[in-house]
Amino acid sequence: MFAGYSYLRLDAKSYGFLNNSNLNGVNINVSIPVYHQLSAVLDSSAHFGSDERFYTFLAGAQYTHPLRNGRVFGHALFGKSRNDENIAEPTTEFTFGRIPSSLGLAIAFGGGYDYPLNSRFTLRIIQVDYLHTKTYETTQNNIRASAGIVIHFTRKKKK
Amino acid sequence: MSRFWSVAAQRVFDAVTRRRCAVWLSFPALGIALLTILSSAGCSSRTINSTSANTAFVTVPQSGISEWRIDNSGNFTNVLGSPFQVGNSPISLQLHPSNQFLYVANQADSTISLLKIDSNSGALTEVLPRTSTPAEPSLLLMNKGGTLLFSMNIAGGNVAVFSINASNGALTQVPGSPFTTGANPSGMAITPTADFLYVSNANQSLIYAYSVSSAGALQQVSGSPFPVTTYPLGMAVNPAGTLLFVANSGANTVSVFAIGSTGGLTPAPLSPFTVGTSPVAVAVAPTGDFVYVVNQGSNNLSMFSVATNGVLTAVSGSPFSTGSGPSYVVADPNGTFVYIGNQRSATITVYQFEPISSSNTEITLTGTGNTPSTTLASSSMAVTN
Repeated sequence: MFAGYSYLRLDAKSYGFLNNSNLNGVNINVSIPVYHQLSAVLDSSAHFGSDERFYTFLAGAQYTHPLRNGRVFGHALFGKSRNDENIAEPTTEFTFGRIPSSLGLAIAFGGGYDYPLNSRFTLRIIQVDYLHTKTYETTQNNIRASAGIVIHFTRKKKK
Repeated sequence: MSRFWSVAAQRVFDAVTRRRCAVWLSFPALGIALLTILSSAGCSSRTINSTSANTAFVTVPQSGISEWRIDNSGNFTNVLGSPFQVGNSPISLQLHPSNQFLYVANQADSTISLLKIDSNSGALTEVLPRTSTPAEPSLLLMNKGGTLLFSMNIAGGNVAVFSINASNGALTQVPGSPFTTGANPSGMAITPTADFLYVSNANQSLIYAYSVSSAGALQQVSGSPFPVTTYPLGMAVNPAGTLLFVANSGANTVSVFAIGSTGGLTPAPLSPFTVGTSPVAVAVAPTGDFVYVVNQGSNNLSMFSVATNGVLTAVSGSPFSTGSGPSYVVADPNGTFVYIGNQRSATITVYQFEPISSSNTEITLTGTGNTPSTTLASSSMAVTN
């Protein structure tokens, strides 16, 4: 299981913001070995800004390959994203609420590099994803970067 | 580099093996490290890469205020939350030069809405309560400095003048306001220095001229009202404040007047000039070199170069086709685009300036092919600098 800090460069210009947004948050994913170096992955992230919240819920496949002392991996993930912008809209003539959040498609392609610390912990030095989402009736091309710790719940077999 | 990561990993490993809680402490540390890396790549703040995109606000009487971002190619992107609701029948708007406040005349309510503009999201938030105006406001104007707002009111046959609080945008009607003008005024224009205000009256075929005090009081100038050709509607003043252009809807012409030092009007040589059918609105390019006239009856736009003495010469390609029922024209403050609002087809036609000689003295318009839909008929537009 991976858990760590995550940064999201949100393509807010796609729905009329003057600038794209830089959001900070967390990324958690669970990887279950399926066949040799191929794993099934469940991935979730939450990112926050002053008036913005962006969530992803993804699942897909991940391929891992040894590289030097660590392991490089690549994955393809598919699922949903939820975008919640704090934009006011009138609920009656003299009171204001906020526009509803938007749920839509999410696709992520990316990879990263893990450096093992011991049999239990691995340092995920970097994971970068191109994150394509569809919210508020527009498409966003985002970049997500994460780093943190991978915790292994299965011990390696001793030789 | 691999040595760096090895050392870093070893230190994290040491910390982890010494204390388990260090795992959690390492998360913010990693975050800070990553932020530092991203900062060096120019990603340190929440908002970066400011663009040169303009923002357009359009009154759509049946739905509110539509808002778009406009990129350098003239493409429109709908702003999240648009259209924004205001009062009943928003008919005209004015953007404060600070780009922080938007004022909208609600014709059916006889009120003016003040909306604050979020600098990043573009979202509009109305500040309540609304400001009352005399009956049926139909056109708003603002002086260049953003200190005075003028509301032309049809039913009352007058002009209300409001001072603008620079910090919060609040309106306060100036002493003596509203100021009476001819019954059923049809258009309004102000000089850039806000010394003189002109109000057209279609039924009377007259133009009322007023001097404007620094406090906003209107005083009719000597010789006012001035006669003009049949059924004057939209008007505009050039940036130098020396020429007034008037669309004569009943005569299919545009009149040009020289503005005297006391605000009096003198017809320019050869004025009036022939345009298309039923001209209703006029705009002047930010340089003052060109003038645009919207012809509602012939669904096109006449464009002229302007001589210093006010003589107009049609540019190459003029008139340019528009959508159905064009009713207003706005010249991009950057001088790149011209926007024409089409009431019947509920679209906006976008043209781009195009030099046709290397000296850039000859200009024509090229259609961008971008015709954003307003869904319902729109009535006025403002574009940010």
